[in-house]
Formats: sequence, structure tokens, C-alpha cells
Amino acid sequence: MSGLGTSLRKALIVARREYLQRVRTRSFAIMTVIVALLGFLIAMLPLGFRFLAGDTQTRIGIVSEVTDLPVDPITTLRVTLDTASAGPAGTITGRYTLSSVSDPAAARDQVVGGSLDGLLTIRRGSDGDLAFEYFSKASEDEPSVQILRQAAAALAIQDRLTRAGIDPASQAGLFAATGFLVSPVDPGATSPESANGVLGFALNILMFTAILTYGYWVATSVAEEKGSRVMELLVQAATPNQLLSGKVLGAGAAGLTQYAALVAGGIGGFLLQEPVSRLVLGSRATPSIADAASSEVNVSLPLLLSFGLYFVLGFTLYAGLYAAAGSLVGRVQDAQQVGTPITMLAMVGYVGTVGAAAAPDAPWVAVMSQIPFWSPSFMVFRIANGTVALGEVLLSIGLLLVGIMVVLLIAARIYRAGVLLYGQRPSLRGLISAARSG
Amino acid sequence: MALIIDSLRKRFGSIVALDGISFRVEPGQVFGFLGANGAGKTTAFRIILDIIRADAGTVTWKDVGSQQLPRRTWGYLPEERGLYPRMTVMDQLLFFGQLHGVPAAAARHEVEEWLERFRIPEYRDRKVESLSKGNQQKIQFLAAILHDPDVLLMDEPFTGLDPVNATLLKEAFLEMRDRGKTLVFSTHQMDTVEELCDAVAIIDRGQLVANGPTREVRRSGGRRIVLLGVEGDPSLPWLVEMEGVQVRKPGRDYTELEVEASRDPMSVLQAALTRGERITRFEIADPSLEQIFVERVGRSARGEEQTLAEAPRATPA
Repeated sequence: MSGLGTSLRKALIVARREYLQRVRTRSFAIMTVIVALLGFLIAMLPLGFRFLAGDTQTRIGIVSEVTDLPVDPITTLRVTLDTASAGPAGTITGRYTLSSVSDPAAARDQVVGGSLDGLLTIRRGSDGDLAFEYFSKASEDEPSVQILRQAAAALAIQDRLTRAGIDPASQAGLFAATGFLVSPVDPGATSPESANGVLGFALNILMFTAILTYGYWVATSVAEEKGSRVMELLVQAATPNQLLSGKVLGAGAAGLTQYAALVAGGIGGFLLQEPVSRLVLGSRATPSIADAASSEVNVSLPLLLSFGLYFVLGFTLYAGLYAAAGSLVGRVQDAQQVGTPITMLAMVGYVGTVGAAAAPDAPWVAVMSQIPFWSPSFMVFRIANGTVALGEVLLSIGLLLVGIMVVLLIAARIYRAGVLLYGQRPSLRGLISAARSG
Repeated sequence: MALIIDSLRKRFGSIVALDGISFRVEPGQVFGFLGANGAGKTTAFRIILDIIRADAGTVTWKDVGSQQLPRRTWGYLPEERGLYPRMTVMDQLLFFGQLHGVPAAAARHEVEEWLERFRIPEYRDRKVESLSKGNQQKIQFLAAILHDPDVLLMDEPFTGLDPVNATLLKEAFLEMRDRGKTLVFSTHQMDTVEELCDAVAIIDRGQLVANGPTREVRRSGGRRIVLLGVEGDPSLPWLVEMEGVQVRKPGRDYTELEVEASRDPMSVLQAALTRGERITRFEIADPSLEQIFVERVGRSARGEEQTLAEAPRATPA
């Protein structure tokens, strides 16, 4: 009766029931659709920002009353504007659309009407220098106007150089991009604002919410069985270890199913970005959105694999705790309350990574990365930031596996003891003695 | 070779649930386990099933201790409903059957046969929560027997059943007995016990107060019951003078008398004839289990059930 095969078979029967009952509920179907939409929307976020940013782009009409300009004013202005308005890491904070205007009066009307943001008129002053007039609703201190002023100045300098006898071809060297390197005080430090820091947090939030949501399923499912006395039949048919592992497996599989919907929604959103961006942004779309997103966030295969591994192990660990908690109460309503300490425990790891972001090399971070309750949070964060050695990862996985076994064994005892404490308030002493005799 | 309960003791904190009870159930018997609420019946069932452990005492079935016995020795029907409310009847029973190692096909076949017999084949794909209490109880019974256990332990199986469903369940009990199973059940319904049980045990506050074959337990007090009917005045004033005879229930049709062990019931008949009564009915009977129960426990089991019936959970379906 107690062979490993029998144990596994019984655990799988329990898991199968748990999975099917969970997945067949209407609330599961609704939540899964919502979660998939959420994944889709998250993937579409960059496009949304792009769309909003695209809407704030500045459309400028150019009227040149000067006929002897050395260079094409629109080309020159655009080069300067694009360089000046490019943000860090290739992000573009704002964009300019420049067009040559043949009818200044009509263009002025367009500015008033709002279809143009400004009209730039280039003249040659009495001193021979270029003079600019910018007709716009924008005030002088707005960034878009500031940048335009710089671009105009660059054009004026090129004009002066030409008049001073330097031919346009050799000017190109003068206006070439300058090498400008930002050198951090502590080269090892990773700022929490960096793209990978954000990724580490994002993965942690995903893991934390999943552990809370699906771990809570385990707790309520156990409490429900105890409350409905199904437990008295179950313990006749299977051992607490079989019941517990089946439950964790079944609820975990249901959770992963919902999780897969999130990921599928996200991948779908990512793949649809190009077509949708063409649709929404029209000609303003650039093919570089997906490229930009992936270059900003360094999602590597090892990171995803280790995230998956830590996610599954972390969930198993916490699900065991939630099952033990659920077995202490007889009503579903009480499951949340008794699960709170476990939520707190998970929270420590999640919040701790915020501290780790400020000091990734601190000794306490290395310690926390090895404690099974928190190593999933810390390791995912550190792997995302690339501040961890392979040996540390392997050690933490080993400790996590040991931790899971210890927790599941203790949880199975509490589970058995809790199941038997009918009508009694779960006192610590009663629990310990029951667990011992179990 | 029997189910032997030997000197079981169990305390919950300061409450003594079982204070050294012993009895034996022979294989193939239908055994009634009687007691008021809180007498310790459910605790005894749970100890037999090894759901909880006794502080002292042993349970053996065919000379094997309950902790060594394979789990599928027992079929258990708990007092309160122990089913998944939102699972269908078939899914639920297949789940329990498979967990006990019954192949799905065999379990399916068995369930369909029983549903037919219980006249509820149309409920096989209904969720349990949508069934009436009586029908849920039938499903609970199937969950207890599907893995073909040797001993059936049933805690208050008849509570809340209407007469039709109670009869169906009684027939199922007898069917299980005919298959060679041993049945132990607790109940408040003494007439059911008299009807079904070969032997009984009565416990009160954790102690055994009566035990043995049903007929012996009914005769154990030594008193007999006499039903006496006469033509004319039914008040029978001369009975009061008879030593060792008490009127239990005066009635127009007949009067129910209790006759002490020291007096021959036939002396009542002689006395009546002597007084020239024209006798329409004379019957000597054993006291009912209900009477024995009241005598030993000090209160009625039936009265208790009526109180329970007022509680919403025991509303008959």
C-alpha cells in the first residue's frame, strides 16, 4: 500500500481532482481571460507611450527667405533636432516633423488652427547674420522651443563659417557627434532605475502575486475539505503526504495554467505591436519599437529559465505552508486570516529586493539569497541585474530543495494534526503535540 | 476474529469523551451503537478508523490492530455530510473509488447499479449540492461502500431521512449484510435498531451501560411488558393494588403495564380473570430498546432527536 508508485498515483489522483475542479469554475475562466488581457495590455504599454508621445510631436513649417544658404535648412535642422531631443539609451523624448512652406500666410493660419505647431521663418539680417522668427503658441521656455533655438543656432554658425570661407564639406567634421561618456563613481553599482533593475522588480511582482493568489487557493481548498468533513473520508483513502503533495501539485498546475494565459497574452501583444502600431500611429510608426523595447530590457534565456525554476520552487515551498495554514481552520473565511503570517513572510523577500537594489553587494543580500523563503525573490532580482555568481545560484537552489522537503514534511504533520483538531481552537501546544503523535 | 473494542479511553482537555468502553462486534453482524449526543459515539468511530488515537485501549479487527490495518478495511459514513458540494455524483464517487484503488471502469459500473437501485439514476451528473439531504445521504453511503470494505462504520445514517429513503437505506444495509459485510451504525431511532440490529451497545457519558444481542439487552432489566385490553371500563382500578405491576400507558383500547422481574406476567391475567374482566387482549412483550435506553441513560434518545430536528441542519429533506 505504501509503495512509491502508489503514493505517486494517489497524489496524482488528488492533483487531478484539484486541477479540474479549479479550472472548471466560472471564476477561473473569467480571471484567466482578465489575466490574458492584462498580459496583452502590458505588452502594448510601450506602444501606448509611443502613441501619446507621438501625439505631442512638434510639427514645424519652415519658410526660408534666404536664397544663398550653404546647406539645406530642413536637413540640417532635423539632424540637430534629432540629436538634441534623443534621450538616454536611445529613447526619444519628442519628435519634430519639418516641412517646407511655400505660402507663409496659409501656414500662419494653420498654426492658429492647430494643425501646425509653429512656423519658423529664416531671414538674413542687416548685419549679414541669419535671423529666425518662430511663430507659435508655445512659450519661449518650453523644451521644444529651447531645442529648436539650439538647432537654429547651429544653422547660423554653419552659415557664418561658410561666409568665413570654410567650405560646407569640411564643416561636417566640425559638427560630428562628440564623444561623451558618463562615468559612474562606483562602476559595480547598478542603479535601481536601470532597465534590468525594473525587470527584476517586475518578475518579483509576478512571482509574489502568483504565490499569494495560488497559495491562497491551496489554503482555502484544504479549509473547505476540513469544513465539509470530506477530510474524514480522504484520510481513509490516502496519507497526509499524498493529499498534501497532490493538492500543491493540482493548485500549482491550475495557477500555472492561468499564468500561461498571462504570458500568452503578453507574447500576443508583443507580436501584434508592429501591425497595431502601424494601424494606430500610421506613418509615424517606426520599425524600431520592438527593437527598442528589447534593447532596453535585457530578457535573456538563462534569466527566463531561472525565473521559471525559482518560481516553481518558491511556489511549492509557500503552497506547503498555505496547506498547513488551511488545515488549522475549518472555514474558508478563516483561511485568509491564518494565511496572513505566510503572506508577511513572502513580503519580506519581495520588499527586501528594494533594499538589495541600493546595495547589491552587501553581505546581507548574499545571506538572504540563500534562505529558502526569500532566495527566489533575491535570486531572480540579482540574476536580472547580473550581480550573482553561478555557484551562489546552485547553492541556493540546493538549499531551496532541502527547504521544500523540510517544509512539506512539517506541513504534512501540521496538516494531519490540524485535520484532527475538530472544534478546537488551534493552540500552538495542541498543534505541536498533535504533530508529534501524528 | 471479531471487531474488538477494548478499554478505550480518550480525553479532550478536561472532557472525558470515552471512559474505558469495551464491546465486540461479530463478523457479519449488524450492530447498533446507541447513545445520546455527546455520549462519545463519534469519538469511538474516529478511534476505530484511526483518525484520532485513543489515550488508552485497543481496537482490533480479526486480531490486527487498527493502526496496522489497511485503510480499505473500513467504509465510513460520517455524521455530517462529507462530500464535495460542487462535484458531480459520478466524478465524486469515481474520485473516492480511485483513491482507494478501485479501477475507474469497475467503480463506474458499481455506481450506476446502485443509483438505479436507489432510484436516482438521473442524478449521476448532477452536483451534489443540488441534491436533497436524503439523496446526498445515499451518495455518502456509496462513497463508504464503493471500495468493498469489510466493515462499514456509519454515524447517524438515518438522521433526516424521510420514511421512503430510510427504507431504501435499510434495504441497502441488509444487502451489505448478505454480502458478508459487518455493519456498525449509531442512531437515535430505536425502532430501526430493533428492526435491523443483531446486537447493540449503549453508551452514556463515555461509559458502556448496556451491551449484547438485542433481545438480551431488551430483557436485561428482567421486567416484562404486558398489554391488557378488556371490555367495558378500561381504567382497571384494581391494578394499582398489585405489587410489582405499574401502569405505563393507560388506554381505552388496551393498557400497557410494566411487570417486575419478581412477578410472573401470567399473574396479571389470573387477577383479571378473577375479577371477572372480559379480556380482549393479553400480550407479554420485552421492553422496547427505547425503554431500556431511558432506564439506563436517564433520558430519552428520541426526545433528543426531536430537539435536534428543530435545528435547521437536521431538517428532513
